[in-house]
Amino acid sequence: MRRDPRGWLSSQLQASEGPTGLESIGPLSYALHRANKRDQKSARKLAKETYDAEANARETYAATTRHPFQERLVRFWSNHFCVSITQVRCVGLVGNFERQVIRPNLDGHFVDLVLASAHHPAMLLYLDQTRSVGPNSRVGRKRGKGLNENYARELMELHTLGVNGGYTQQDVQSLAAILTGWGLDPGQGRRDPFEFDSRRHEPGDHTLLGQRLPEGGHDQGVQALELLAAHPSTALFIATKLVRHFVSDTPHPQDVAHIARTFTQTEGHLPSVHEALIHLERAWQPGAPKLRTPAELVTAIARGIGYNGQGEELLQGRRALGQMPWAAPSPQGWSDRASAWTGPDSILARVDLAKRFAERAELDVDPVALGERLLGARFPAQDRKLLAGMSALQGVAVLLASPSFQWRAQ
Amino acid sequence: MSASRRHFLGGLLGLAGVTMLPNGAFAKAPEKRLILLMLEGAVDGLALCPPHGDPDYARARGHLALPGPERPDGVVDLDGFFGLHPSLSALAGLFDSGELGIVHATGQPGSKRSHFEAMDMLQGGGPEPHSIRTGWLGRALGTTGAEGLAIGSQVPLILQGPAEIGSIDLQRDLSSDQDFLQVMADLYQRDPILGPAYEEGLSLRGELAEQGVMARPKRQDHGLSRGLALQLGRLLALEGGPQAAVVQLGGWDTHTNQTRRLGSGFSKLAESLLALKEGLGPRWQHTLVLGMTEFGRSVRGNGTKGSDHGSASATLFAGGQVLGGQVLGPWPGLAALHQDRDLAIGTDIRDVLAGALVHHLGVQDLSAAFPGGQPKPLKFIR
Repeated sequence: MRRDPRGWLSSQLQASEGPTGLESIGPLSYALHRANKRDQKSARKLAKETYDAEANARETYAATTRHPFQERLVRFWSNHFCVSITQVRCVGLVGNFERQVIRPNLDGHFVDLVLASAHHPAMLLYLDQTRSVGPNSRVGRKRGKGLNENYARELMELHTLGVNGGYTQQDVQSLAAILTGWGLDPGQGRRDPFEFDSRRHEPGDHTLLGQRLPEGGHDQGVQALELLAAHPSTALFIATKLVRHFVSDTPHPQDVAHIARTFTQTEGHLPSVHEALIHLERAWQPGAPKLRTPAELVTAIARGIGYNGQGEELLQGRRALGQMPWAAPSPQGWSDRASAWTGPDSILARVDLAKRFAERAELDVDPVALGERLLGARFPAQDRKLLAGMSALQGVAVLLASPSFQWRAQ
Repeated sequence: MSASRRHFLGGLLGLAGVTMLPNGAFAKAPEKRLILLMLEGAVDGLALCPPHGDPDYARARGHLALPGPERPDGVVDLDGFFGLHPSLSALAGLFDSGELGIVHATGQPGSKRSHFEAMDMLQGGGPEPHSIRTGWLGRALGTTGAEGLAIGSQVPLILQGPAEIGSIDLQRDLSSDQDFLQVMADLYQRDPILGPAYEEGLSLRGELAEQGVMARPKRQDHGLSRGLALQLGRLLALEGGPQAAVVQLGGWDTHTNQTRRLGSGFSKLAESLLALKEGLGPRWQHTLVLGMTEFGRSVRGNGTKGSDHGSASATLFAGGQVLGGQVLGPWPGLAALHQDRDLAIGTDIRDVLAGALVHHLGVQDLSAAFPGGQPKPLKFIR
């Protein structure tokens, strides 16, 4: 255990550099996605290769970075603004989304994440925004096309206000109308493929959450997103999710109120909000631990055994446990509750996985010493006794597969 | 571990020695099975069971209206008014033989068109979304001492609660080192949360190995396929097996290209249902399958060849003893729509779920399953 764990975490709140060497891949994949009408097969192949490279680099980065808490924050926000390969058109873009939307904005404000995500091709494609057309716009009238509410609804329900945040079906339709025209330019090789197309934009003023937003093309949408990001319901919703993810499956109302207050007072300044989270007393109390998700478990195993191989094996581990990167089954993202990850079959799969990793690593270490390093005070005396009588290989396998290792270190 | 499970696991892991079972020397009531297909993402009930005879159908649905039964690629007529989606035509035989029926215009009153909230309500069964962290089926099974099975590696909310619940991922390689799993069993015993799940997983896996069911299944797409449904049917056909199974099937959130996506989704659903029946064999006589979803979709299509979130949908029921061959429930019609856009709710879906518990599983007291609500059990089983 580190001497000043809070200080160590606080030193990791800047923007994330993330894995390198992938910069050009994302936009290229978008251009190819557009071209895929002619050559679907090779476009799909390229998208898949892009995904593999991104996922590989990200898992390796997480296993080796000196800023693991920053990586936890990246994953939290990446999961909050969920984009997923379950939408085929997103396969080549999801990794780029995390690198361009989440990582560089960790030292900014919440609204920066909302705006950046709303302009990225992965989000626009994932929630069908590129297809939504204002029925009274030029394109709408000419081709008889209309609104698609998908992104507008999830933007309020999942990204900002929360389902009880006080919006109505009328607000969903309003926001959908405001956001028409937000789309992508098919032009090849553009670094930023976002384009506002006024020919698809529903003209006129629109009312959102009781506030009248005057016609202003793209700017009307920006104003709407700013309104949502600054709404009190958003502060509460984000605070609840943060406390649930980092502290407890059942967030304490005082903790939520404290984080929401920080969020409001700093206008969603992320380093301040994250700092406040680190200093919550309840985050450091033993007794109400958080279960590691499969993704966290794989990273913890890799870091625990000093894994220095390719990300491919780490991905295999995640596949076996049913949590591939950027593959959440719905826009809600992966669950933060233990009950979502304690299916009988999946607990056994964790044990299988830990054993495979221990066998491949062939560590020549004292399993008891490793247990002390990885579990600290949480290392059960009975486990220590059991490991003392085991070979290095078997001992490491048992340690990584043990129930204590399935829970997060506080 | 319950007596029936001991029997199910008979001979494994040294448990056989403590079996205390009636040995079947006297006649026993046949074991029932309830299989829930959770169609996640909000299925378009008007596409699943189109009211082609409704005078407002074509006008109200616009470009989503399906061609009539007179066309070769059209709706399959059921009763002159309702029909089946053309891609569900393989199920017409089951409807005609009375083994399949539909409750139309089912939904959850007060639903706000949010997938996640509506799915939580549908599975949790509480009076409000997120008001209970267990599921109505898990609680109902708890009152009868029966066991449940989740298909997939995780246990969905609907099955959580006091009952013993197994989970099995039919798509994963299940071979593992049994000795190592045994060593770990001692450690897991001490963990109050992971321990019970571990024990459950271990015994179920042992049983599967013993029965030779699903050894090294082939990797599939997510969802159900003919092969997986067949295996699931065989597993549930076994004497002493879990009483209820839940399968989650996604892909129904058709905001775009609805025609194509429903076409493939429905044919897979039809194929899987028939394979389930085949796998269940004689057990089909005592099985009820429900296909249900969190809400329906907007009556009129959206601007992108799809439909947006709506209110009422439709619920499928099938099995050897159902009162099939009919489309049940009051029909709200398409002349006046809920909030000017959705099919109104004719039947609270909880009445259907309560009907399954009362008339199929013999659950007498519904207060554990649906606290704070008084569903009126719908009768659709003999």
